[in-house]
Amino acid sequence: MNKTDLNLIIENYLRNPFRSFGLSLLIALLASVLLVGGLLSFSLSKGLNRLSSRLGADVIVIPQGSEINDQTVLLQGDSKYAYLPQGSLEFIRGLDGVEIATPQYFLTTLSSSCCDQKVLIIGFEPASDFVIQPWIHEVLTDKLPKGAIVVGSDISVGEKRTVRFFDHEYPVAATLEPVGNKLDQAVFVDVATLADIREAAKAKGVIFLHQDVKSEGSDSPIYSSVLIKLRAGADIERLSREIHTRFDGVQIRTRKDLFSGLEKSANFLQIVVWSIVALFLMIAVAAIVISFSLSTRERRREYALLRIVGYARKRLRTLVLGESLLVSAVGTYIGLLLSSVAFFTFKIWIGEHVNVPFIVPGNAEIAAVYAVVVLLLHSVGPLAVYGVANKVSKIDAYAALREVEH
Amino acid sequence: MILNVSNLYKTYIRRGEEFNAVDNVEFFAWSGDFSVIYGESGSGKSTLLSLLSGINRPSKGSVIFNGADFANLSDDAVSAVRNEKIGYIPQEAVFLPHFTVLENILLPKALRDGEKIEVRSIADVTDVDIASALETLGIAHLVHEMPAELSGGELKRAAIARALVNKPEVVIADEPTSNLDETNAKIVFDLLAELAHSGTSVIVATHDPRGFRYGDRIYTMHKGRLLPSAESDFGGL
Repeated sequence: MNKTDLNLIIENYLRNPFRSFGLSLLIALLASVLLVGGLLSFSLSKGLNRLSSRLGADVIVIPQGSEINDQTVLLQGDSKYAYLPQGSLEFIRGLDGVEIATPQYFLTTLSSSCCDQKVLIIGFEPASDFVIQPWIHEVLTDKLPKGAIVVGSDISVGEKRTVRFFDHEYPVAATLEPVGNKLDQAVFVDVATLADIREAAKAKGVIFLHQDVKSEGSDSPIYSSVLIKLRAGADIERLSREIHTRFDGVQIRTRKDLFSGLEKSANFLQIVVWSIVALFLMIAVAAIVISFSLSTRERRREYALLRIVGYARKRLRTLVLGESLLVSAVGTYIGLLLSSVAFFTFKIWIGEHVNVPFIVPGNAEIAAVYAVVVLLLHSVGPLAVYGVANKVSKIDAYAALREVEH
Repeated sequence: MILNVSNLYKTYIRRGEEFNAVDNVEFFAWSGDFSVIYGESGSGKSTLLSLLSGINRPSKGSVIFNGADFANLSDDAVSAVRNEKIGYIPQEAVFLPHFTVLENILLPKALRDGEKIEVRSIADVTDVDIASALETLGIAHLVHEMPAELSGGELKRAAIARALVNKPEVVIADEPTSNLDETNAKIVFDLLAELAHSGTSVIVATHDPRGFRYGDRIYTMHKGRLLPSAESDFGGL
């Protein structure tokens, strides 16, 4: 393709602005849904993988009959108050097949100085914890200092690197890598620090109702959940039966149960997204084919003229393909620009509303998504009009001129 | 000999029956020749010219241009010959509607040189012969207009200028004086004669009897057959 061809292609694009920009806008929409779909897909997949690698536990025991839902509490980090029956941790630890059982405590504060929203405080028992401390060790090689806290990736800690709860400043020892759900807005503390926070709350007149009321008069503490790592070959069904026989009001969820629900949600989202992409693709291809067919029919005289002055058939085909490439390219870049602004502006909002773990992919993955979208969409126009371009290249210039004559 | 045509046929199917629009034509042209082909509408002369220019492929026979048989050349090669060596003037003046008349005239040159079509000013046209042809054809003042703003006669003259822009070895003109008044028809024939005089081979298909006096060789086309002047009714004109 030389300057003459390029000149003709650009001129033909500009001379029918309504048609050209209309088609480009369609491609722009397609680029937008493809880009957002690709990024969403990567984000969901990355979120699930990260969460799966972090969960660590084979079985989770949580309260039943409360508003607590296994996925929202343990995976999404949502915080409703409900606690396991007293003595449940000790009982579970004594069961056959249990390698480690560790408790977790959830508290929710009103907005603290760090955040505009409620902060979930997750307390863990350092001696038995096998879930949270490995995450902490990814960013903090030393032991968690006494009274210090670790925060999720979305919590802003400022220059002082402290978070304020109930008029007390707590030093932040580390910020965790994102998980892609509300755990990114959580604070992780050991049980001793959790007790401090609870005392500070009491001093301010805030009472964590269930926790305090239920623990009154009992040496046995209560927990929000117990996470279990099983020995190899352990019988989960038997374990579950034994817990249910001993305690009412508990739910037992295996790692597989928890993730199958999330995977279903993520898969459903992906199906919706890719269905929209397919729909737009079909509409765009149909519109391009129809538009180019009509346009080339109207321009038979021009193609005949180009043949007369020495355009080879191949070059006529290149002209038509070039026009479709220009339509695609303009649309692709408009679409990428607009959808990039939208996606990266609203990524946190999207992450909060998709209701499954969501982590925006790294730069290399983002670049790959952009490259695929650019390559794919640059080829949509030319592939769609290839048949039309072939027809134009076979135009009978002599007949086309005679049609004009008569 | 620049053009050697032998045993040439172009066969079409009409209402289920074959007919020869061009029927066993023998034709030769030399540099500096002015050949005139006379024929009624539908006699096959436009079809013959399209075969001579390589726009159309014959059903049978050969068109040999400067020793190269079009049948043995690729479409790219024939197209390049048409661009550089053949100036074709179609019966109907066809133009790219969104380029100026000057840009349309310079289209074959832009194509040959791989340059942009857009031209800002006639001063960009450095070729004295083209500038002179535009003056001769009386359209120099119209070159910045858009094609839609020109009359049929003016467009016809612009199409003639376009055919000359690459200084072709052969000019093939299909009814070059249709839509032209007597004065302009004479200007066109004079210009074509001058081209022939300077060594270009000119082949004109026309109804216009005025053209006969310019022709070195006169042919008549009738039902697809090309008859030399000695065998035609018009040979003595």
